[in-house]
Amino acid sequence: MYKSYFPAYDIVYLDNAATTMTPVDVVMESDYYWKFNANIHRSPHELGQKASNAYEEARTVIAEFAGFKSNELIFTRNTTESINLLANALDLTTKDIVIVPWTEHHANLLPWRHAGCDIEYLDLTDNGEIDLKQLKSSLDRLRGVYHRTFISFAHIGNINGVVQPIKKILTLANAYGALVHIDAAQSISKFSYKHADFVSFSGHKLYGPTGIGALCVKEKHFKQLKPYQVGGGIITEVKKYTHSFIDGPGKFEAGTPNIAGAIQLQRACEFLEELGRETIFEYEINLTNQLKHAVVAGGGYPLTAKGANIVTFETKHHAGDIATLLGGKNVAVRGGMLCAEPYVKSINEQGLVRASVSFYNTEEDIEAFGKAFKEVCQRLTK
Amino acid sequence: MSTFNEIKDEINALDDFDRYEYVMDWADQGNDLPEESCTDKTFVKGCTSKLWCAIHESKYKTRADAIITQGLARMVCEIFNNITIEEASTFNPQQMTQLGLVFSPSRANGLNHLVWRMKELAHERQ
Repeated sequence: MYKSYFPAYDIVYLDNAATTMTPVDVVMESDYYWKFNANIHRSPHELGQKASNAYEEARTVIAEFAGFKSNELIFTRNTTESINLLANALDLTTKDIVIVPWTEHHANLLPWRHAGCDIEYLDLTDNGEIDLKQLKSSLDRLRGVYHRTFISFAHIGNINGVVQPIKKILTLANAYGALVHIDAAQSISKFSYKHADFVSFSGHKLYGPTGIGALCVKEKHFKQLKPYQVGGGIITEVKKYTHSFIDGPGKFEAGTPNIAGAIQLQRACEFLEELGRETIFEYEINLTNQLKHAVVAGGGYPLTAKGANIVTFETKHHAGDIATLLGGKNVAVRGGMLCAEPYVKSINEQGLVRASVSFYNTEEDIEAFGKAFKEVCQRLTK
Repeated sequence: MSTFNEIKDEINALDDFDRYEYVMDWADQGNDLPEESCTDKTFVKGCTSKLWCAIHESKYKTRADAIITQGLARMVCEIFNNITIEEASTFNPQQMTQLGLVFSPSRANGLNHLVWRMKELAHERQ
């Protein structure tokens, strides 16, 4: 019943974990270019003021959507840039440790490895959840050893789709003085995060445009962060040999940002709030269960019994063949390493297939997937 | 014996999924590069699946672990087995996009690497 909001939707699109479709409201949002196309925070004229106001209004709306205050949201290009920004801005050394599941998306593994801190890897339990006993044991063992301890994980994994027990993890982290970063790329459309220290997400997985994302930082942690990139728009004063920076999120947004993208992302957040995030998530869970049945009926083996809106599965065939041939039948899924090579290869060296639903998918989509999946498997068995 | 243009014309005469059926028909011929020839040296990097390519008994031969890759590889072998070394050296990998098949970026990348490997092998034969 929501398909009419999405103009690009003319196939069975089950690749929502990669990118969500963009609704008409967001596509048509072009006030910036029509009404106040000017740079922000620099221009004394009326257009510049209007652009600055619109950009800051977008920051407020998106921050509240994520569970933060307006002065706690830094605009970035996407989740990957947000995590890179955080890992760099924290100025990590070997006196710091990041505890992270080794099963994460590369975007939540490589920035930490690259940052020069120590890393402790967590395992998942058989049901796909972070092993809380192991986490507690790690926190016990590492207490007092490191200057700072961080826990970083995806609230909803891009492979298994499992919703991690965030409250328990936050409680544990709080008890041990560890700070928590949540990769919310897959989950921000469904949850907000009042109690997390850091949250990263992308606009293009939130029904918004590409090229805009955010890193949310609790206000009290800003003093820990050093500028990641430097240049115009983030300074109070530059002398021949010295310079000083502004405070707050703007300090991490050097150069002219994606103003139009921020405003479009604001529209996407407003669009979701109007529909009701809980309502659409409930619908997605029901549809995901149907998708799982269709996978099993076609001879696939889903990775986990539970899962938010993601069904990742193996078959007897090569994942690349399944995904390519489903694409040939106008059913969009992903196949391969899914940007989580260590995890995927630990399950199947040839990769996995991932189908992921959104609230605009319908039961007819799932039936079409099921039919195409059976046909593809039969052809590959020939 | 098929040339690039013949294969291209055959594929372009087909609709949607029939194009993939066509590739799979090539795969049905099976892998022809012996397993013992599948080494690091003959491995084609950059593909979504595992693919090896070498000249064996004076013919371009391949082995792949995925059906679509196997079909594409057999097609490319057929093309290169029926052109001169000079023609192989001037073969533009971009031509493969004229086949009208939609692949993931990694598979398209792998196909590109395969064609370049064929060109290298042709050069080594000179």
